[in-house]
Amino acid sequence: MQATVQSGVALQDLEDELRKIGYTTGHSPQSKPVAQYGGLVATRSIGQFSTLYGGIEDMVVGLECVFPTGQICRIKNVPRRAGGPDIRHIAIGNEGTLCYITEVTIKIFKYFPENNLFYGYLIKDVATGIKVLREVFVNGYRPSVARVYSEEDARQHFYHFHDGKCVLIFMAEGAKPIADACGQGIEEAVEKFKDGIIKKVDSALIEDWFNHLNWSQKDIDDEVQEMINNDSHSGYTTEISANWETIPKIYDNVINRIRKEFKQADDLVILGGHSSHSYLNGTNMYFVYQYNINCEPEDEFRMYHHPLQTIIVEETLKLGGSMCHHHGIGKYRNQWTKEEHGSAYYMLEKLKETFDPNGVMSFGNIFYQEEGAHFQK
Amino acid sequence: MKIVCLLKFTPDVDSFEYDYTNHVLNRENSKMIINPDDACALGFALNLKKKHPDIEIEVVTMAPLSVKSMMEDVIRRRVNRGTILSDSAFGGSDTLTTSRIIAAYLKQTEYDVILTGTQTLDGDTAHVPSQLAEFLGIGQLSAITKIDEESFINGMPEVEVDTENYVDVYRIPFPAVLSVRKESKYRLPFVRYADLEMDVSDRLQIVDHKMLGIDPLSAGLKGSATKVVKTYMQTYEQKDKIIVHNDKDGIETVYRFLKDNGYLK
Ligand SMILES: Cc1cc2nc3c(=O)[nH]c(=O)nc-3n(C[C@H](O)[C@H](O)[C@H](O)COP(=O)(O)OP(=O)(O)OC[C@H]3O[C@@H](n4cnc5c(N)ncnc54)[C@H](O)[C@@H]3O)c2cc1C
Repeated sequence: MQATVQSGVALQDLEDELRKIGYTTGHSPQSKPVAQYGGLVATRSIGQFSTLYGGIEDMVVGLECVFPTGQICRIKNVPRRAGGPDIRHIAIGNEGTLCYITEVTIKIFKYFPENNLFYGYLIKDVATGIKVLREVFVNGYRPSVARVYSEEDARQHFYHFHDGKCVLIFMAEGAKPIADACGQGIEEAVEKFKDGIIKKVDSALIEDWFNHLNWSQKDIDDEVQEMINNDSHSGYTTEISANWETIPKIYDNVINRIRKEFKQADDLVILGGHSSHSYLNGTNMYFVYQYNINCEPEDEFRMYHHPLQTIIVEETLKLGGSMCHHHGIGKYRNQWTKEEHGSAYYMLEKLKETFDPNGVMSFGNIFYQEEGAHFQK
Repeated sequence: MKIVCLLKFTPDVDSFEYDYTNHVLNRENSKMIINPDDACALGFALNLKKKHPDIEIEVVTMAPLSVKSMMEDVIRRRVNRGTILSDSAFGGSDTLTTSRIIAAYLKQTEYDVILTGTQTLDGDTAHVPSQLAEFLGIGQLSAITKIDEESFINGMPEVEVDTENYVDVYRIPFPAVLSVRKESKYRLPFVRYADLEMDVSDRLQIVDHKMLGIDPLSAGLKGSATKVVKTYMQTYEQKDKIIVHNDKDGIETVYRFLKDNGYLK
């Protein structure tokens, strides 16, 4: 089961068409209403049901791309092959720095919304939530949503029930026996760590939250206007990933360091995070921070976002995690690309030299450029 | 042209938290801010200076020396000079004495126009600008919500004054005291990133009673005619939180609330 689309097809359009015939892309980044397939593949995007369906890299079957020389390459659509290195990954996540993606073939899935099960819990701390997530995943269950929110982050997402506590949520979906078994696995994991569970939340509240997740173009425009009108900022994020044992350590180190070191700490309105994408061997942490802006707009990046992001990236790399679980590297994290990849940076650098020798593709994305430094630091 | 801006640092009353059990104001998290009306007056001056770089701006405040670092931050916003009128003898001055002290300094200083706020967050009397104008023998207007830039540059500004029911337009010749309200929305620029650590010590002066030729006994609590008889905390009752849903009942509840409390007619 697969669908082929050109790079300018909006995810929402494909999803709407598939739903009419009982299928889904399984891909649901919050940017679903605005993002297009070329961008989704080029940024290695990941959706909110990734724990069941995977990230975009698990969905792409084959693709077509064009290199700066004009060379067009088609990577054929087969279920699997052992034909040398998996060259799809030269295009997936290249952020426009190596080639331009023109067509994508992705897997599609049967959709069973009637079997969806929702679970929500108020919990003692982030570490408890991470333990429950780990238990669920290492036992082989694949809920489509599995998330833990810190108190601060929970406050902005679940104002109607968070009660000042951390929040743990799950959604199980798929064919009924699979969804039910997954639900049972979740309940067993919660039971095992019941000392850290404060109370169960009405699942209707979780379902309601789930139905209002995505951002439309209007939401984005309204947010920008609000920032202009009130000199405010509605929040930045930096998301990282690491092994199960490491994530709570990184979380604590980051929060403590920001509280101690960040010069504008008094301006922070929210500092917290959530884990929203889990794997057999670890999970991500999506740090969120909102602050009152007490500087000129041109200085905001250097006074607020960059110092905060620096602490998050440094603490993550120090403990062996990745500074970019999703959202790519872009232009604002390229100063750490070498450190992120270590000795494997050699391979990345050679790809750039080979495919874009004149450096004309997406200048500054992934690969550090001195000209951009004064915007960053 | 030289503009003097008067400025007061006040506690940010919005950050006070009311303790409903003990009926006290918790000021622990409160910080000092530039009085919002005054910030708009300085904002107007600094934005005008951007267009006319030869304008000179001096900021004057009467305050304890603890405001020094905040004053340095004010100067880093491209202000030419900062003056703190500071003396232990000035502590506890009422509005009249405060105006007299500031006037004593301004009589020694050159200026074309004095910009101030209309009132302060903490005092709220709106006395100082008019008393100051009286001591200096010049005109004054309060509650200004708009200043026409071109006529201001020409020394005869046309200003809009909000009198609640009407907006009056006046023309007033320099020298004058123009007192702005925060509703003017003149935005005070922030210190730029590159200037955050700038050394401005040579642009900041501290002025005491001797330099102003003021008898310490005529200033501060002793020199003030206003005597505070009593201050007390106003008490408030905590209101229950009502959470409604986006449905017919919810809309009706919100509508009733607004109507019962006079927000809807
Ligand atoms: C409100 C909001 C929510 C978001 N939520 C998520 C989320 O949940 N998960 C997630 O992973 N991401 C999320 N994102 C970021 C996400 O990566 C992008 O929204 C999306 O993947 C990019 O698609 P786009 O079509 O908007 O690409 P664009 O923004 O147009 O481009 C993104 C980058 O990809 C490159 N690119 C675009 N098209 C091509 C192409 N055809 N070939 C080669 N390179 C190309 C460009 O050089 C550019 O640097 C969110 C963003 C927003 C604004």
